[in-house]
Amino acid sequence: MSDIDIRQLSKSYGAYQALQSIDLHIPDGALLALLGPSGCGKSTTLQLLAGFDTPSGGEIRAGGELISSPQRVVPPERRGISLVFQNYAVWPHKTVAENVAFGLQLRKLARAELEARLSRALEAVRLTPLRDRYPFELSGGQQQRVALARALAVEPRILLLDEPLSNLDAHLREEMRFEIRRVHDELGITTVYVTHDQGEALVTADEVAVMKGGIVQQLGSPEDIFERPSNAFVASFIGSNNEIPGRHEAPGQLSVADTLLHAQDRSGLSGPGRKAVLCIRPSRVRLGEAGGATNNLNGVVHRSAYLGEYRDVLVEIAPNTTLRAFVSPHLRPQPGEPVLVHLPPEHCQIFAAPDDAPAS
Amino acid sequence: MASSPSVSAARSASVGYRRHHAFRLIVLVILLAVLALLIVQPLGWIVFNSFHDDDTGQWTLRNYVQIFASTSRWVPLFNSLLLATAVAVISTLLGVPLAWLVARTDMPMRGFIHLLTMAAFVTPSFIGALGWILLAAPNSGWLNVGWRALSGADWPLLNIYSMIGTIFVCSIFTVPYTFTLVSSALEEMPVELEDAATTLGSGVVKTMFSVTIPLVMPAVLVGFILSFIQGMTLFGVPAFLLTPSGTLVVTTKLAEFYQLFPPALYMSAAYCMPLIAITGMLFYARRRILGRRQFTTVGGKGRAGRKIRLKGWRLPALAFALIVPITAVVLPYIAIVLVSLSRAWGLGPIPSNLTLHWYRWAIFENAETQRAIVNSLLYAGIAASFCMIIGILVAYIVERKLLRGAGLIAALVTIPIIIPGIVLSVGFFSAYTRQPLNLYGTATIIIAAFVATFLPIAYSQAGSILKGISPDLERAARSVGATEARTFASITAPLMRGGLVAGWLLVFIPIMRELSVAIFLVSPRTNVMTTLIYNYKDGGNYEAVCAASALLLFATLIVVLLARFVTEGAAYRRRNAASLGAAP
Repeated sequence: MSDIDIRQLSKSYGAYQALQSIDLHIPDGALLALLGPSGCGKSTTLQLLAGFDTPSGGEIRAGGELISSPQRVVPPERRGISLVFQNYAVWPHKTVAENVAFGLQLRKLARAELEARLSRALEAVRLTPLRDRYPFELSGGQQQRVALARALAVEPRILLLDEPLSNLDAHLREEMRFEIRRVHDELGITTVYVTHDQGEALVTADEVAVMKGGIVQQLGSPEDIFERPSNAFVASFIGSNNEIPGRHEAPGQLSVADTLLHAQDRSGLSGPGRKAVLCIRPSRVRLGEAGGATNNLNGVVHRSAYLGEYRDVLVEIAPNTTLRAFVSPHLRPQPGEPVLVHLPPEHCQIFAAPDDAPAS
Repeated sequence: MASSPSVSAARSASVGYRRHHAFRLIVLVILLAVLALLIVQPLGWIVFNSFHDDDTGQWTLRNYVQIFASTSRWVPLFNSLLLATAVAVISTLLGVPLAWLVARTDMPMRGFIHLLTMAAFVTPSFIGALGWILLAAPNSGWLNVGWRALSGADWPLLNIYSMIGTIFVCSIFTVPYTFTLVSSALEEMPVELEDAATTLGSGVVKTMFSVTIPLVMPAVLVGFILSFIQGMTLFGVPAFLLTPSGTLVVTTKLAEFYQLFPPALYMSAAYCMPLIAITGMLFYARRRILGRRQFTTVGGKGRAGRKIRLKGWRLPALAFALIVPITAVVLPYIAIVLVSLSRAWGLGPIPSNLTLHWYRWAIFENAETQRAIVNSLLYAGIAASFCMIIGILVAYIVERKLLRGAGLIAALVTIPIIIPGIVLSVGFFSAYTRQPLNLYGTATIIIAAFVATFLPIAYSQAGSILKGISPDLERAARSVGATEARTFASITAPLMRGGLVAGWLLVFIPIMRELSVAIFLVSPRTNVMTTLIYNYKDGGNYEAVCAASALLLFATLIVVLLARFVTEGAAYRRRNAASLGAAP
């Protein structure tokens, strides 16, 4: 086992900066999820970790040993780092057992030792009954488990997972999330899990690094990034979110249309009059009740959709400004109806307006 | 590794780092050295020689000036251009309608015509020319003999020893190129595109002119260019059909420079240049056209069985479609086989004239043909293997982007495609018949020339096989601890296997029938079938020549059937594998 230390790692392809100097420390035995939309740099980070690419700047250390820098890249086979691919990359000309045993054969183990480790790996992913099948005789989920067993059999010090579940159907995906976490807890291998699915990241990871534009936007526990996002992008990327544009008036205060709203201030803005956004989860918005002295708005119901477990209501709170609220399914607001909206200040957060937001 | 202290892990990683790079460096140095010897050295000598005087050995531009100074120099150039233009025009006029008839209409015998057109593809054109000498030589050709007997005329109906005869033979053996290109474009074209026009009220003819023809136009253009290049670079056909009447084209003029004593090496080098310039330009044009061609394949679906109904035109269409199969395959094959079975072909195909003597002679009695058969198979086998090894290595470096300058290596192995065989022969002769590497008369020089000539085919074959294998399959092996070499041996090579055999055969077959590259490099000991047939034909022993040709055709046919068998097996395996980690 070993920890991973990434310092000022950057990678550019010509003029395009895929990674802009990221710093990450992954403690020994932890599971870190790299989460972000496509093109955010998460896959680049993984390629660099695996040793398939040379960084443009910075360095990666594993267990204190320098494994990647612009001058020197330890080849993938010498890193003790296993990789599980998005498309499984199970070798079609080898059986399940041959796939898993390949890495062990390279290590010139004694026959008994090899057989024991092979069985253990197959057992860990519950593939023992299928050991003599060829990959084309397996389902997607089974192939994914072969890929996982193959990566684990060599007892790597670090395991990398590249969107391992994205080719599976929704049902299987949910099941495999827990499977991956279970295997990780059993073996305690330092793991980096790349995904664009926030659900996967929240379920599996000890820590989540949210990335965008080649920059780590936030590094924290799943709870941290959900409850205390560091910017509007993170807030919107993780879970459902309302972003209400307004003007920053004073620390903790923001005006939307002519109403002054109170909120947790994470904007780092000082002077008044700057553009800012107020973020609140739809599930925290209250309708039809004045829950406190402040943060009450008058709105008009625009659309109301029944979703079984809750009702998704779109409310217009100012001209051209709408807000989603997830409310109890037995409330029945009708389109056109006026409604009182309460935004509890403890669930409201103010962020600086994203650079790319259209002028409001 | 899990429990090893980090010091030893660091040391092992560092050793791996060095070993990895040392291995890469060694492979790269060997590869570049081989390519330098195969391509840079011979072509370099041609360029170098072209600027030197044959008599004095001094630097000069005189050779280039002389190309245009005398009629005996520029007339062959003019003849080549005439031949190439005519071949391109005729094979387009024959090949494009033929492709349309086979791919799109209800003409009868489409499968048979397709098969025979492909047979014309694998027939060496100089053997076709040989067949046509038997059929249409002015005095002894069977068609002329028959004509005189029937009509009582005393003049020949056909004279194959003429520019028109040469254009005819070159064209019918070039049609398969146009045919293949256009028919695959027609097959890839989604039927919906034509249907869309028809639903808007466009008739069959209108649709053809406004949709079908514009969409296959790039393929037609590329076919035209390839035919032109064939007309420029063919050596065997003009040597058989034009040289007897004293008419020369560039390729046969080059041969003449060599037969001078002493050979006019430096002059001939300069004389290659217009030929290289023209083929180079045309290949560039072809690339440009193919680069834009992609739109024809958009949304290509399996075509419905619906065919255009020719009604009363079915038989006229069939008559047209049979021109190439009959003139390129049926008639010459019959002539060659009959002559090879005759005691003396002048007596005609009558029972008392039949004999297996020439086959017995070629296979069991004559040491020259025995040696040539063995040489042909051996050299083609070795050369095809080397070709594939180099092709795979280069394709691997390019496809997997292992090296920054990989594109340059790819360009280098593609260069021979613009160098006509006879020119490459000149280059190898200049480069390797002197110290320190005097290989004259050895098998090595012939095999090396074959390898250089067919490297472009091997490289493009290997490239398309590798494109079908996802790099993730290799990365997965690296990440569980396999070195680059081990990954190649355990993962890439087994996955390539089916395609490799087919690719090897696709190089082997053209080497078996290649004449012009070998022609100046062989010695009596290293003759191959093609050069031996060429030499025997000069001697006028047609029965022996035909028996040897039939043997070569038979050997090629066997190999082609084998290729089909293996390719289909590989396609089946690939379909299985494609559902898994195939590249996107």
